[in-house]
Amino acid sequence: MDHPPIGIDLGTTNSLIAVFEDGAPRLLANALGNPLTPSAVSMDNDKVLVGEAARDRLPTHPRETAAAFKRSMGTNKTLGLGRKKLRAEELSALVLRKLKEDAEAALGQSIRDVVVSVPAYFNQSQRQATMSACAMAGLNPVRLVNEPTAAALAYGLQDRDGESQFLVFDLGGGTFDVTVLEHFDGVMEVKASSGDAFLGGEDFSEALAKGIADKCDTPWSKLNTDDQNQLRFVADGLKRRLGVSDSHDVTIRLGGETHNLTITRTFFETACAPLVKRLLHPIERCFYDSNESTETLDRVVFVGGATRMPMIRQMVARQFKMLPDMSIDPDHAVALGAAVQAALVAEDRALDDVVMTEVSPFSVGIATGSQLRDGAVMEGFFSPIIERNTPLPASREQYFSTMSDNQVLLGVDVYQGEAPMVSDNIHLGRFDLSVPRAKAGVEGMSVRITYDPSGLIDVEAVSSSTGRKAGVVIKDNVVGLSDAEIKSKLKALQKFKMHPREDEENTALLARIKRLYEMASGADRTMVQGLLVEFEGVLAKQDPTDIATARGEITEVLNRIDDYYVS
Amino acid sequence: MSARWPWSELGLKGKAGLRDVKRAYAVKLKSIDRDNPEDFQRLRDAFSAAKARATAQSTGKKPSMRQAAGKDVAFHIEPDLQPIPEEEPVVEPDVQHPEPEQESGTDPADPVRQTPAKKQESAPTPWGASLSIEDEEDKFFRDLRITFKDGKWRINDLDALLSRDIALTRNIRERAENILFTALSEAVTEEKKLVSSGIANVMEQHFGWATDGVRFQKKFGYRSGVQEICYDVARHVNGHGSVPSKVKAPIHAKRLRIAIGIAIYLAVLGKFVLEDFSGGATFIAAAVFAAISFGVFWIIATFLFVGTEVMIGALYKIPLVGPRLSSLWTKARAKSLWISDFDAATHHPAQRGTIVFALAGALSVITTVLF
Repeated sequence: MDHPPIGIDLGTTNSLIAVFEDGAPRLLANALGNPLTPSAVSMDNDKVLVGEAARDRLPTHPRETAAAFKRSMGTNKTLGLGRKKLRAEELSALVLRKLKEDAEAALGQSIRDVVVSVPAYFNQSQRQATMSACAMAGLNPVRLVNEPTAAALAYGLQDRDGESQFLVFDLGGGTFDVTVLEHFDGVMEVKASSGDAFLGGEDFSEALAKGIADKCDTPWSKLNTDDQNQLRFVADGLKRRLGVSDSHDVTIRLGGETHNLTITRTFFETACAPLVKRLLHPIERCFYDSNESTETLDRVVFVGGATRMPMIRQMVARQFKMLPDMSIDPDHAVALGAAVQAALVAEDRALDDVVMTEVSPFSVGIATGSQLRDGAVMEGFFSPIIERNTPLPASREQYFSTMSDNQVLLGVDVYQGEAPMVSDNIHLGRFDLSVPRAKAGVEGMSVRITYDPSGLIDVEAVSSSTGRKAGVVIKDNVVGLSDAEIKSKLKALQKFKMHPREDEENTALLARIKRLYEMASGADRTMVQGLLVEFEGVLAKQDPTDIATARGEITEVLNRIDDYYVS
Repeated sequence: MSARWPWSELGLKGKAGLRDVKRAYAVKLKSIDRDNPEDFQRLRDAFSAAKARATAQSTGKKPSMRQAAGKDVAFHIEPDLQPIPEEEPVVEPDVQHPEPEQESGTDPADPVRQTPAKKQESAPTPWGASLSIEDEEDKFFRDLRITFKDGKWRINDLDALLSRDIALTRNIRERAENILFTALSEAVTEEKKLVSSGIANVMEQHFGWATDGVRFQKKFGYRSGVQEICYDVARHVNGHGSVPSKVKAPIHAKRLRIAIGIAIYLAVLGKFVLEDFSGGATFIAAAVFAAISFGVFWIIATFLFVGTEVMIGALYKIPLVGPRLSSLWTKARAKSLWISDFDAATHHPAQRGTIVFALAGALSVITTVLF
């Protein structure tokens, strides 16, 4: 028997799984006992590594390892994985397969139905790519849930009868979402969502890495890819350290030179100042759309690992005049909420009195022509029919008429986005409606767009004189690829052999030792090498208890070295 | 919105407070089929109408027209804030009714008029309390006006100014945006200037005018010059790709036209080869004749199609004939839909273009061969 739907947070940096049991969501740990599985994939000969081990191989085997591929979702970009070139969907599918295995091991049941979280600001093609990834991993995505909404559900469930107005500030590894919600009488109402699909913690690391490169007098653009990767890795660790301490010493080897630097928090904040400023736009939009203001907010909820940076907390405190709420671990909130959403979809009885309403994150409309003041007719303007942040399901109609005499064809091009010109928005579909010839403006059509919370967009145009109909249905579904294609991809991906689950802890530790060997220098390097030899020796004996003891000891030493070199 | 009484839709007996409206909405929301857009929308509309009334009641304000119009001023309607009735009339006139001559006339006086408004406005906000911040605000807006004094825009100064910490405060940004829009709209509508790429990029960077055209339209859509600014900004920020282009004929329509052209040429050549070999002059004469006849037939065919429209349009205006003609015309149109379908298939932007072209081509070939 299949397990009821589970919740998956497929993040840029880390992915998590959670189930809803006995009226509350619970996280499931992976083979390493950690609920966070890094969203990284690495090729080791012919075997695929996913998670911790893959992340540790990022600085040592950059060509065989891929990470942060969520940012390329919905694009045709391919990432190299050894000799193979994989799309973001396929890499995500590998992560999802790993999560599926972990969940099945933890629950003892096979998993098929899942609810996957996506950034609220993901557009239709990015959502479709996420759906495809699920299908390629042999999962059935029953629903996609917006990450801030999921987090809000997790918070809302803590205090079911409460009444509050709050803002979810979700700064993840690669995306930024802001959502204003109201919670009353078991109703969780999303009022407005906004965000930036290309702004996240990884950008802060990159900005810091570039800052450090400048400090070492080696401009970022002149560094080779290996050095860039290495520096990015150091910056990522440094970012975490600077969250708790004011300054940190690092040793970096760039192009053969060793630099000993002291990086202060102020240095980090200066490097990231432009990024912090970019966070303001979506917040402003959200308030504008929801007709709310900072004074009516009861609290600000922090979600996403990147919100741990002190500069983010300062910015929020300054903007909202209140301290953020982090009572649920910002890394966990989305996965927990996704599990709640899964339970809502499955109509779990514990959630009978909980209702959630969503809004459309983007405007949906059609391309139209317009007469400019000098009389010239220009095409390609975007006429929104369902404006963004309209509560879903929504169905809106608008009338459009012919622009020139004898026009017999009304082309309906459906777009999603906010830009005034359709060429900057996302094209969703197209169809034509023929109308009888007449003078300009006599003939016309009513275009009705129906948008439901599962992401289905139904567009229908009706001619005003003949009653002819034409339309298109745009699904939040696996439409980019046909069923047959998905199946063949599924098969192709199954050929990738996963590393055996039992070995995972050892593989991860080996990858970590190797990474530190690359990073360390001098006496430390010899010591790390010693550890490697020692551990391989223990592994060869194949005694589980010995291996476990060795693992514990070595991890302790590694933690100390990591502290020095910043992991 | 549904014409029904919003409270009855929510299952309430009559006007109710915010708390009751919310409770009633929650109960109703759980009972309806939430996947049905009509039901859901009706309930939502009733809820927002009832909520707006309840909110207005508690603040002692009428439901704002601006709130209905979705304008930013609706931010000021908050249940827990004391209403400041004088505040809005002072700020609003030059925002709500953008009469061009008034705008241009009041520009130098603007800072003077806005300064007292701002002081009242900032009183209830927690960050406007100290005097030094107010002075800083005054200085900010003074500096802002200098950046576009006398129609000359100092883009670097403007960029630096908008990057100042004080510009991150929301109400200050909003006001700055309004002031800049007014200045731009004057330049565009009265001096017929184009928005430069430097200004466009600054506006995009600080206010997102190009990437968030929907908000821009909502905010300034009722003001003059909005379309020109919107178009210019989008063009500069997004590069030439976004310049709206005229529709081009699709490839198969082009092929059809080329085929017709070749047919005419072959007909002329055939006539030349078959009849006499007396030299190039005859050939050229035949080609010229074919071209002229094609042009004449083109004009006639186009006139026929367009003329029908004009004639029908004129007939419609005659009182007795109009109504009868209307039913006839509708029937005829229904029968001739296949022509429309043909046009749709050949996809030519100028209507009947391909049909007219083919007809003119065929006739000119026939006449060329006959003579």
